[in-house]
Amino acid sequence: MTAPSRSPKFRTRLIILVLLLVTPAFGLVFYGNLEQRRIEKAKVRQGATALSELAGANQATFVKNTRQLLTTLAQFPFLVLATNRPFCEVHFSNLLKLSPDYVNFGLIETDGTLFCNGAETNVSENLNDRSYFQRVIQTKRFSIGDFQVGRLTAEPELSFGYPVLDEKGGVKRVLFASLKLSLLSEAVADVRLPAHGAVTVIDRNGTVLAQHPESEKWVGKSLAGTGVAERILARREDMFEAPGLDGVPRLHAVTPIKEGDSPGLFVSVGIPLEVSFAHANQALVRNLVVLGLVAAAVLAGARFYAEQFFLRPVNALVAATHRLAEGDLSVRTGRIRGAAELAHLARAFDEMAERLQKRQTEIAQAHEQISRLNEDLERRVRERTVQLEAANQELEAFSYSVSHDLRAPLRHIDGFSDLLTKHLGGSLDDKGKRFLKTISDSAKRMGRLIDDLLVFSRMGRSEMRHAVVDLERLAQEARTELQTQAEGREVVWKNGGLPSAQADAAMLRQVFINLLSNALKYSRDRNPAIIETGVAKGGPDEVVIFVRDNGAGFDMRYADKLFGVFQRLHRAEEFEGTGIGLANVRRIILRHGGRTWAEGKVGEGATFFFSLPATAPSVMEPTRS
Amino acid sequence: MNPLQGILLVEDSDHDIELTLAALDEHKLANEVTVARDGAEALDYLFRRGAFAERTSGQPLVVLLDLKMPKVDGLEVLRQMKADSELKKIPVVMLTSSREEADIVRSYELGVSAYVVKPVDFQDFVESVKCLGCFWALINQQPETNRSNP
Repeated sequence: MTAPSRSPKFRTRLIILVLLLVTPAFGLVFYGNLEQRRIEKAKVRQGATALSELAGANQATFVKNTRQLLTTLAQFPFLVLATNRPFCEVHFSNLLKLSPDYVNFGLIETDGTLFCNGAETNVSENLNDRSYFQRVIQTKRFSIGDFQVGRLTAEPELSFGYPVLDEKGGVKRVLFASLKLSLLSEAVADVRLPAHGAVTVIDRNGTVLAQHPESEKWVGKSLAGTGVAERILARREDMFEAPGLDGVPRLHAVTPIKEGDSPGLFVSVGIPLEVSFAHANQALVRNLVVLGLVAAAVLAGARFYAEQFFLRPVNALVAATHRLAEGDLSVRTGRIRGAAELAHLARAFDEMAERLQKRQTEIAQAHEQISRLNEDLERRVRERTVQLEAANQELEAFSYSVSHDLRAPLRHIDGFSDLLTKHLGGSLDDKGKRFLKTISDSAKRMGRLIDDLLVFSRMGRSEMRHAVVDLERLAQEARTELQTQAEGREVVWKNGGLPSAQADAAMLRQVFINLLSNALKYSRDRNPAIIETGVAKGGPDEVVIFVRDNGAGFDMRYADKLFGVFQRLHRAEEFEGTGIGLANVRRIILRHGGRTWAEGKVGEGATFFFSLPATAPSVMEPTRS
Repeated sequence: MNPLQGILLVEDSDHDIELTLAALDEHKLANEVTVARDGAEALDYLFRRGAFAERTSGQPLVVLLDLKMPKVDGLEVLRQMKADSELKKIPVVMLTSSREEADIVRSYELGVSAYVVKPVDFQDFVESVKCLGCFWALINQQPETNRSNP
C-alpha cells in the first residue's frame, strides 16, 4: 500500500486547475492584442492615407505651380514666339534668376531643336527624345516628364512641358521648365512620418524622383520590375502591404498626381506595420507578464492553501492509516487543522482507531482468558485421564483376579466333589449323591457367572473399532452360529433386511448373537418358532432394529429389569442363563450412542429393539436379502 | 539314565496339583509327573541347580506351566526356558485359570506350545488333561537330544 500511485499528485492537479482557470484570461489577452492590432492597423491605414494625400498634395503643389508658371509664360507671345534668340535667352535667364526652384526654362521647336533656354546660351540641342516633349506634341497639353539629368544643366531634374499654340491650335513650340529635383525630396521630408515611415515619389517609369529618408541613396534609381513599383504603377489599389525599398515590410498608401487625365507622378507613403503594432505588442507582453505573475501568485496561494488545509492533513491521515495498517493501533491524528470535512474524517479515524485498539485489547484479554481456560481444561483432562487410567488399571487387576483367583476355588470345589463321589463309590446313598451334585452344579454355575461377568466388563472397557458394517450380514452370521441350538426344532427365520451402519462389527455381532439366542431360547416351546429381524420406525436421527419371537414373552411391568445385570424374569429351572446377555446388549448399544427397549406379553412373545444414531455416514440404505 | 522323563508340572496350588494328578492318574500318566511348587523351583530343576544340582534324570517331555505363581511366575519360567538353547526345545503348555487375552498373547509371543484354560467343570478338566498328556507325552515326537543328559 506504499506503492506510488500512478495518478498525478495533488500538486500537479492543482497546477493544472490553476492553469485551466487562467487560460481564458490568456485567451482574452491574446484576443485583445488581436483587436488592438486591428485597430492599430486601421489607424495606420488612415494615417498612411492621410500622409499619402498630404505628401501628394505637397508634390502636386510643384506641378501646379509649374503649370501656372508655364501657362502664364505661354500668354506672352513676344517671348514664346520670339524669333530673336538672344532676346529670348535674356528673358529666360532673368526668369531663372527670379525662380530659384527651377534649373532651366526654355523653348523647343516642334522638331525638337532647342530654340533658347535660360541656363546656357548659344546651345543647340535636339530634345525630341524627352518624354515631356513627346507628350506635349501628342496631347498638346501640359505634361510631366520623367526623371532625367539635364543635358544643359547636368543636374537631376524633373521637366514639365507646355504647348505654345497658334491661332488654329497647332503646336508652334514647346515651352519647358525644369524643376530642381531635390526640391521634391525636401518637400516630402517635411511630411512628419511615423518612425520608420518612408515617402517615395516615382515617375511613370518607376524611377525614384524623391525619397525620404535616404533620398541620396534612392533618387534616380529605377525601381522598374520591383514589387513595390509594379504595384504602384498597376494602380489597381491605393493601399497594399509589401516590403519597401529597404526591405522593411510596410503598408503603402499611394496617391497619384495627375497631369491631366493620367497620372504623371506617384506618391507612396509606407508605414511599417510592426512599428505600429509595437504598442500592441508591448501591451501584450505587459499583459502576459501581469497575467503570468497573477497566475503564479494564485498558484502559490492555492498551493499554500492546499498545503495548509488539505495536503498536510491528508498526508497526516495517510501516514496514520499506514501506521494503523502496520498494526500500530495507538496512532491518532490528533486535532488536524484543515478543511472541515478532513477534520471530520480525522476525528472519525481517531474514533475508529480508538475502537480498534479497544477491540484489540478485548480480544487479547479474551485470548488470554481462553488460553488460561484451555490450560486449566487440559490440566484437568490430564488429571482426569491419569485417574481414569488408574481406575482402568484397577479394574484390569480386579478382573484378572476374578478370572484367575476366583475361579480356582470353584474348580477345586467341583474337582473334589467329583473325587469324593468316586472315593465313596458304592457307599454313597442317593441323598449324598444329590448333595454332592448340587455342590458341583453350584460351582459350575458360579464359574459361568464369573465368565459372563468378565465378558460384560471387558465389553465396557475394550476399544471400539468403527467401520461400515453390514448389519444384515452380522445377523446372518449370528443365525449360522446359533444353528446348533436350533437343531431338532422347527424355526422360521424372517429377515426384514437390515441397513449398513457405522459400528464395531464384533460388538454388534455379539448383540445379534445375544438377542437371537434369547429368542431361540424363549421360543423353544413353540412349533414352529418364529424369529423375525427387521427395521422398525424410529426417530429422525436413529435407525431402529428389532428382533421378535413368538416365545414365552414377559410381563411389561418388569420390562425395565430386562436389561439389568443378572436380572432374570424366569426361574433357572424354566430357562437357563445368567442374566447377563441383555445387559451386554444394552451396554454395547449405549456405547454406540443408541438405546434399547423391549415389548412383550406373557405367552405371546417379545420384541427387542435397539437403535443406532442415523448420522449420515453411519447408516446406509437397507440391503434387502 | 532313564530316557522317558515324563511330565514337569509347575503348580503352586496343592489342590490343583492333587486334581491335576488325579486327572492324569485316570489315564495312567501320574507316575511320570514331576512337580515343581513354583517358578523358581521349576527353573532350578530344569537348569539343575540349587536343590536339583545333583539331578541326573533327563529333561521332561513336556512342561505344564501355571501362570500365576509366587516368586517367579509362569511367563518368566517360559521366557528363561526359551532363552536357553537346550530347554527351548521342550514343549511348554500353559495350564492356567486365566482366560485373559493379554496372558494368552504374551504366552504365544514367548513361544508357548499350547495354552489351556482350566475348566471349572472337573470332568471337562479331566478330559483336557487327558488330551494334553496323551498328545505331549505319548504322541508328540521330539528331538533325541531332549532325552539325554547335557
